[in-house]
Amino acid sequence: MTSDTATHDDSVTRIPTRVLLLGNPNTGKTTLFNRLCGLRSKTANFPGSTVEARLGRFRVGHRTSDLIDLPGIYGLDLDSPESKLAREMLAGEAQWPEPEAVLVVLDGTNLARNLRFAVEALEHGLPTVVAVNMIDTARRRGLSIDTERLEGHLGCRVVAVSARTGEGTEALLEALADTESVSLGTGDVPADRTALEGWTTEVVASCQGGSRAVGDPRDSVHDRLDAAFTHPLLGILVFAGVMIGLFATIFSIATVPMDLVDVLFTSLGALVSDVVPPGALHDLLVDGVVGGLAGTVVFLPQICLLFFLLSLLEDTGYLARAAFVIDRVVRRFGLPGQAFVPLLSSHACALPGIMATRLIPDRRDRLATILVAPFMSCTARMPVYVLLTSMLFADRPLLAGLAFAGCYVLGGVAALLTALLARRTILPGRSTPMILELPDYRIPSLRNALLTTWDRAVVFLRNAGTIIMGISIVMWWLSAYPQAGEQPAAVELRTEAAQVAPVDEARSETLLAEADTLDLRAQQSGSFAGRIGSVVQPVFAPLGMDSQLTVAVLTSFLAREVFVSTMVVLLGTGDDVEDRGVIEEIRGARRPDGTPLFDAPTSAALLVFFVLAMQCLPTLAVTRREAGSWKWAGLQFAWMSALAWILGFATYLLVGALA
Amino acid sequence: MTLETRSIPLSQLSRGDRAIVDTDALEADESAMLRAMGLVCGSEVTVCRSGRNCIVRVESTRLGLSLRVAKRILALPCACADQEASESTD
Repeated sequence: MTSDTATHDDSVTRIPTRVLLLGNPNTGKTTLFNRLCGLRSKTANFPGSTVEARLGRFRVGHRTSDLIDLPGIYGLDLDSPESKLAREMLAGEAQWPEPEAVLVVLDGTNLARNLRFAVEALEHGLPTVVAVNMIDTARRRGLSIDTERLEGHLGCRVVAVSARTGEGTEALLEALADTESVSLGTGDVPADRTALEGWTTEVVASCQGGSRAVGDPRDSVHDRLDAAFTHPLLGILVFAGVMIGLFATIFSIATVPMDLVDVLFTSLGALVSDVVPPGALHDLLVDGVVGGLAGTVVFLPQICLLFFLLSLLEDTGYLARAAFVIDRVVRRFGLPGQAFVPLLSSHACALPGIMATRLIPDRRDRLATILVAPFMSCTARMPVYVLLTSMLFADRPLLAGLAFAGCYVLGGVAALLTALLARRTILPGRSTPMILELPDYRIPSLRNALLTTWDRAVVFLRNAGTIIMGISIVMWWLSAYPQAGEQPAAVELRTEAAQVAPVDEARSETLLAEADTLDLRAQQSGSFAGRIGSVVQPVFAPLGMDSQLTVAVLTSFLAREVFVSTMVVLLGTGDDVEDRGVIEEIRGARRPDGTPLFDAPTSAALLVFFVLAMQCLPTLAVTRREAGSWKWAGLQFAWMSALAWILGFATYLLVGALA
Repeated sequence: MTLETRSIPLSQLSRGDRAIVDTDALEADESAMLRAMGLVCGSEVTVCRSGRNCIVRVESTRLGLSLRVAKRILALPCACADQEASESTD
């Protein structure tokens, strides 16, 4: 709700142009922000910090004001980047315009704890309005809050609201429009912090009526749910069930919009192709820009679905219980319980997985999770796994299946051990022990989930449209230039195809395909990427790779799945990897000396390499964004590539010895 | 018996036990976080789940605590607290 119907007069009141929104986590702060600003918001990192805030606009009469929503914090004097930024904002020391007023959100069902936070905010002396949120829930629990009396104690405007239903938001906007002209005295907050506990007890006794939340019949329901969800064994089973349901939903639903995105970009490419005449600009737009964007934006439906469902789950209060249960398992590797959802999400795609690390409050924990998330086997690796396990275990589907599952296990183990190593070396320091608030169980807000999804989608697309597109263009240029042109052998094949076309159309098509393959091979080996491949080949030789495989591995640094299509192109097979004939043809490929290209040691080494290597430029771009520096993306790339090479080499030697 | 000798770690309390938080031996930042979350000296806690990681309720906030944290928070079980109160009245 906005204040379109507000009755105050803008000409006589001093409306703040920037309002800082503060509050404890789980007080409904984000719901209130969404209620006031709706879609008129965006997410941004604060200059000079990795803390992310949402910036929105809300209407007060005929004016609009900015609302700055910082992450929820438990206290302003805590040693966390979020608390530090909030302190700097309140003191006008942040690299951001100073707020003119503060809106503090309190949980009406947990007044005592929230009052301490309100007092900390008031100490900074900015005009402040306190919103006692979840007033409807408080009422249902038999609690009443005397806001006028609370105003007297705090010395600022206090408005009871329900962000979920919109109750009281109009009064809240009117209070915000009048923060300076209303004098409520200084309140009776004690200057001495040691007297604060007693004061809080007195204020709660004075302002809160009705039965206490504790002892409410809902508590026994919560206890029963907690008994199941946080049980050491049952809790893990419930968690497994929830996660299987979550990812089954994503995989089953996302394919349709992903196909649509694919069709959309194919059509866009065709449109650009029709409009722009052939030449360098045409190739840049079609292959570099549209092709590069298509490869990234195709994951948007998965990302949207993941964040929509995670937002719903978080709103219910379940995610905190899941983190509580999983903490026992992953803590010994230096990761917090909250890391499990991002790591699991990375099995679909590392991009949403890394973006989901924002659920992790501690920065070191978050960085460790970001670093190891790409070890999880994502869907892009699947075609490569299918190809290489089929190479290794032809006609032995059980072993092929075990090898396929082993890839997932290897990735998971590498992630956990890397996290352990990182926490003991580059991210040293005491691991933050679990101190986790378990919020009340609630019915999730569809509106919140949709707005969160929109917000994440915009962030992802902004990233895709800048960094990822830039990288794609560079990679395209490296593989497209210098242009090899039409090969003489290809010209001959095309001539022959034209001659046989009237009598044997199938033969003609085969000849044309062979001609295309010849041109593509020449282009790939003659391009800058191909030349780099030749130079780099000695590095991959210990893993059994020749120049063809090296080019395929190098091109797959753009995206892993490119490996299969590159092999298909280089070997001149069809384009469907799941087609048995294609795998057979690739299996039969030979090196110039007549030995099999995919012998057992090479296939096994390649498989291990692909499980562990960082071969996804969009992931590196997202790592840079979420970690706040290219340093972390570079480290991730170097560590994963080195580990992949070392273990790939070891595998090559081991399998070679066994064979 | 003094309060200190009667205080026991939160990790030793069973489900359903109530206790008054006495003191803690945590790092300063962990103590500050707990205070901000409402777990302050003198506050009453009820154990909702005991074990390696435990859940306690403070006012209407439920907190999940790792064993390391729970072992370092000392609290006076309520039966002891009641007894001490009656002794001081006598």
